[in-house]
Amino acid sequence: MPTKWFAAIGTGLFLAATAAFGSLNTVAAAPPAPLATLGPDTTHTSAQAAITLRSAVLIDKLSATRVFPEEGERLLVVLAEIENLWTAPLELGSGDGIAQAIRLADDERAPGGTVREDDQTDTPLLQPGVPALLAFTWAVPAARYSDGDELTVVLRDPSLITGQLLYTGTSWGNYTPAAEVRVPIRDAGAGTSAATGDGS
Amino acid sequence: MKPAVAWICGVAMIVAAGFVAAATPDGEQRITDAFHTPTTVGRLTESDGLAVRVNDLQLADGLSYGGWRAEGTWLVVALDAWVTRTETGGVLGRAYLTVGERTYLASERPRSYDQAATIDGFGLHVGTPRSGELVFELPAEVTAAPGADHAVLQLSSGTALPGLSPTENQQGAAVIELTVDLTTLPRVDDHALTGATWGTP
Repeated sequence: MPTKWFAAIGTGLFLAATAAFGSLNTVAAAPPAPLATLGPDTTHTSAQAAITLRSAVLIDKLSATRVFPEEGERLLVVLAEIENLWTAPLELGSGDGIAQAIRLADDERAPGGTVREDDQTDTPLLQPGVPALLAFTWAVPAARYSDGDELTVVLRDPSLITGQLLYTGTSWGNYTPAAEVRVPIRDAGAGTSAATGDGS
Repeated sequence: MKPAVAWICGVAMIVAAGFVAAATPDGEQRITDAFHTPTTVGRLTESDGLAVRVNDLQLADGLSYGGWRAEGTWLVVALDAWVTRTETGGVLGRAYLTVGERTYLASERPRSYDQAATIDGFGLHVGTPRSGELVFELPAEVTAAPGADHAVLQLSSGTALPGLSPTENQQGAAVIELTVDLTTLPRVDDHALTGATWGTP
């Protein structure tokens, strides 16, 4: 049996298979599917949560949001109602919290602050099946947005990650864009009290 | 010994080992399982350094404490609690309620307004009870949810890490458990929290 041929035959087969699958050329990435576009007050549902964007407000300062603008900055506050559809409390704050589900289309940053609209609890836990109106706040350059502009908010769906080997348990992560919401920006001026910017 | 006898003994031992393996609860998993201690309303129960007496449970459609107020559906649990060995980590920060498949963590909303609003705002003391309440924010239709007639209140000392699931947070913990029938609890329109106070030893 001429076993020394095996290596040559194996290498040949490997090269033939590689060539058949397009050799070592870079695979062209599939163009991302266009995102569904929603209006305000339309609910977007993922396996994790139901998110309904209510409004976007531009305001000079609002300490209840826990975000403090610097010189030349204003606050952009996005009000969204979130209902936890998962079986355990969801956190908002840290790395893979549900605050990651909400992004501005033209801004890479996660929200600088997330508080409940009603009692201003900072980065609250979301209990299963209990909807909560939340204010997501970014400090933005004062000239970037103005009253009546249409703001595009990207809602991102996470996937449930089940730990294997070194990591155990399940958690939400890998947030990827799933829908866009267009909402008009309302300029609330200096603003003092409510996150809705009613000025009352 | 004849070879046949040796073979029979060997096979019998392997079969016996199979039975032992089958009867062993899933190995390492059990090392970190929570240790459950059942309790009932009014009974003093101690488990792994945490002593608890649940005095009263009720549902409320509104909750207030000082200037803080919230609508919603709340389960209010009045209890006395203290620690028996060490005050390190002795806080009722891992209080869960399971209703069917869903698990709720005691709400942080009142105590983020005022730490003294609920019993989990401060650490517990050795031998000196704290009296106070724990509140759970629940969906409006919770009494009609599957499993509402045998919800389980789970209490253990320590602090829950929000990024971990309830099961992970309870790993290796001693958990005092109380079965609650949410469908028969008294329900009030509004409840003013008493705040955490010193209890009677």
